[in-house]
Amino acid sequence: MKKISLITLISFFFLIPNVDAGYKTIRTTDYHYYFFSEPYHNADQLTELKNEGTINYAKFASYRIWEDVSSISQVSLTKGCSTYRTQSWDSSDCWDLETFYRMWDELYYGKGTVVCKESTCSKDLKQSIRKGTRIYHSHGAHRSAGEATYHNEISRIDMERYNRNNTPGMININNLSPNITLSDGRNFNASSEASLLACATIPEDNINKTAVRYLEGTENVIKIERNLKSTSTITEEGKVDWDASPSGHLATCSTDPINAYNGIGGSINNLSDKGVYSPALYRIKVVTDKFNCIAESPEKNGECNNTVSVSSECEKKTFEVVEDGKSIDNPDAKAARATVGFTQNITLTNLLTPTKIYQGGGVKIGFIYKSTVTATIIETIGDFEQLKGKIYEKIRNTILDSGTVENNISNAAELTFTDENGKNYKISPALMQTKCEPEGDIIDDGKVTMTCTILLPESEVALGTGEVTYKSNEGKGINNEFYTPIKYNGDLYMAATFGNLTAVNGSELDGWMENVTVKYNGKTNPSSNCKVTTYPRFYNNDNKTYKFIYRPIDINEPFPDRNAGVNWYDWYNIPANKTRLKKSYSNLEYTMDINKASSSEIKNYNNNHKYFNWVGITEDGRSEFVQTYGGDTP
Amino acid sequence: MKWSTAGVGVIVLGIIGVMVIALIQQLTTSSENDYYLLKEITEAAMIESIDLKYYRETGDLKIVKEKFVENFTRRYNESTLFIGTKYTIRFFDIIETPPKATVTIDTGLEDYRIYTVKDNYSAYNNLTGILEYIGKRDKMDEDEYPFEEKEFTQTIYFVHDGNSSKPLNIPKEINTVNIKNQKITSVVSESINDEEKWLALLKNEVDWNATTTNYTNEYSTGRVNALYYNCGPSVEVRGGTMSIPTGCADHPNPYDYNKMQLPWIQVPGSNNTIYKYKVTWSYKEFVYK
Repeated sequence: MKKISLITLISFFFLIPNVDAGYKTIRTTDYHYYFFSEPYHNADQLTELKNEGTINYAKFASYRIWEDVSSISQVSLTKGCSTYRTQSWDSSDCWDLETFYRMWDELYYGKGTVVCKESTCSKDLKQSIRKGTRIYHSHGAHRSAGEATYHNEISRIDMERYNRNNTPGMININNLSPNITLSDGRNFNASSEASLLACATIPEDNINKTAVRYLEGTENVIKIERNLKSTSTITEEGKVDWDASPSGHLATCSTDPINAYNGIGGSINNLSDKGVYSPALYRIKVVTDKFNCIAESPEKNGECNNTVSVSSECEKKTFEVVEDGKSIDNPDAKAARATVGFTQNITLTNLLTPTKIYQGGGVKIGFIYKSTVTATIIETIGDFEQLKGKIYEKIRNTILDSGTVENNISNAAELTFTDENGKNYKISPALMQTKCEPEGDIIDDGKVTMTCTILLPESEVALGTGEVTYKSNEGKGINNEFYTPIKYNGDLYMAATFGNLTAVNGSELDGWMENVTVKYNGKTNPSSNCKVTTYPRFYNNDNKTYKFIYRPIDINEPFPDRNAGVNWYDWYNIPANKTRLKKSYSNLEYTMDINKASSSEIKNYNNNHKYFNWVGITEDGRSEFVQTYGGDTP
Repeated sequence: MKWSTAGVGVIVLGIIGVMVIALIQQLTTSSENDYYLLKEITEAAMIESIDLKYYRETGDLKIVKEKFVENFTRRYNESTLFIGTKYTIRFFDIIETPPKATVTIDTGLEDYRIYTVKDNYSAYNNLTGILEYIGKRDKMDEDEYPFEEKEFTQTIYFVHDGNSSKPLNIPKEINTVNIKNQKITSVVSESINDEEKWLALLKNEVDWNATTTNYTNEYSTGRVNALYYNCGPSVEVRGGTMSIPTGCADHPNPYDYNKMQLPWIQVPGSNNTIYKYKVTWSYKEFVYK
């Protein structure tokens, strides 16, 4: 059996997002690098380093309240470190000296920008990495021995002057340009400078160096203590070449002697002083967790004359806001986070009635859609009170307005009936009558309810021909009817697809409930009961011969030796109707006198008008033809 | 001499007889032809004047009077030779539903001559035609009363909106022309689950007469017994006392005495509550062939 190493097992749980019920945790890891370098300009200073040791302090602004310091470590700096080749900056125990000094120059003289939190400032650069950010800081200040205040502070004045945005500049450590343009316009070869500084660095195996971080109020302070090892030979004569001249790019340099250097990065106070340096690089790993909803777009099968339900929960979603006009990278900018839990319960109910009807008759179809969305603020952190308006706005933006929900549903509401021969009868989504009404406010009430009715359009049946036209009107609401075909009897299967059945703005919630679809299909899903059976009433089963008959009758005895047909039975059993029938000839209604001229006109009329055509018949049954050619018409 | 006179007389009588027979034959043949034409044209015109709009809405047959008159006239004009100066078509007592038409055709005067007698005659053809649905049992001796007694059950929801009594529509399944005497025979309360509320709201304006629905209102569910009242010739109140609803007046049309008014159901429940019932109807159905 193959053994799985413990590291692999642990890694498995950290590499994939932590998917709990209804949300996933997105972990962001930021690496903060703090660059220090202590200069020693003469032999006396090196002697002090050997005999007494030196201490310096630097301070940096603290992190956002939701950022967790995960680990603190010192990165050793050596000439031979291969991290530059492997680019494993965040996991390696060492960095090479050239890269350290290269970044140092960028921070001070290149792209580095002054970033302050209140009065605590440093020069910063930033780089986006996978699942996080790398931030490089020059040390904000160092404490002079014997004094309480911090020396060489980069001040807010510098920030106001050079970087009003108070946000770090951008850099890519894997892509450092060999040259830097200074603020006075001079170009200098930073790569060469970095090599010379590397050669002027006291090797780490010659020096004891400890760095400790502690919080002082709301600021991070790092205290670095150094002293030369007793076996160090640096203070011996000849071990530091104070007069060494730089000779361009040095691929290698000796550690015996160390070549003192006074380049631009050497001493910020006195550019003419040569010195040797003891740099320190400090790495603080900061972890921030935020919560995202899990994307889902459920699809369900609906049942006719029944209700289908879809429910889901996004247990936690993190909203982060920053004050207007400022970036989240600006430590002075007010920022807040809120963790909110959402639920959405959706029901879609269908009515289809009757399910058995004579051929050509109408059926009623309707749907009610109901969505209830709740939002519960679980936790707030940061400057919530000052920024709650923005948080509330973000939460409100997760709810779609009724107009959008209406449009979304009606654009996707397709209704079709299919007969057993595969012929389709469709009602266009544009005609379906969708109306939505919202209720409640997601912040004030903690919930919003959206109720939508989706009904058939108004139908207009033409007099005579029975032709049906559907109009985009409300008409009789749920009592509007879909008319089945007259020349068909058998089963008609209803199919309807409703997409976009959601009242939440899924794009604001990581795709959660972005789309909900309910499908009805009476043919492929018989258990849905979405079927209407039509039976013969106008035509016989062959859909050609009529179900009724034409019969000449004797008005005195219309139904000899038999019952009257169903449409005559009750009428004829009323005595007054029997009398009326016998006296038919007493009630003259229309007289049509046709002579040769009118006969010819009528023949001409017949050439242009088919008998089954109802043109010329008004809605109340009056005929233009009869008005023209009729005699004693009522 | 007598015998020869008698012979001539016989011959003359014979000729007259033949002429009369010929005349009668001419009359009857022409009349017979006209009658068949009348019959065929009446059938065609009646079918062409069926109002399919009425059929779709009711399942019943109805013709449109003036469409029938128009089509009959047009067809007859197309089918017949114009002999004489004019002809007159008369339409009597056209009934749109059930469809019936009575038509006469007067083709005008025609001359005839029998021996030395000259005169003229008018030829009339008349016919009454109907369109009829025949039933399964349309023979008198088989079953004098062709209606079958049947039952139908439906599930209804009473959405209590302040009115505790409402008229219930006759379900479409039993509201067709071959069905009559629909009345409620029992109303049994049933328990209702929350999800059924939405179906209840959808069915509200379908099942109940002259009602409106508030789809956004919050409704609870409940269960309580109901009373019902069938309006019509046979008055009955089941389940307890119930004041006769004001809408349940005497039926205005005496000719439809077999038709019932809408029944009323009374639910002594709470406002904004939905109740569920199983309603059983009895009715009589004339079964089609």
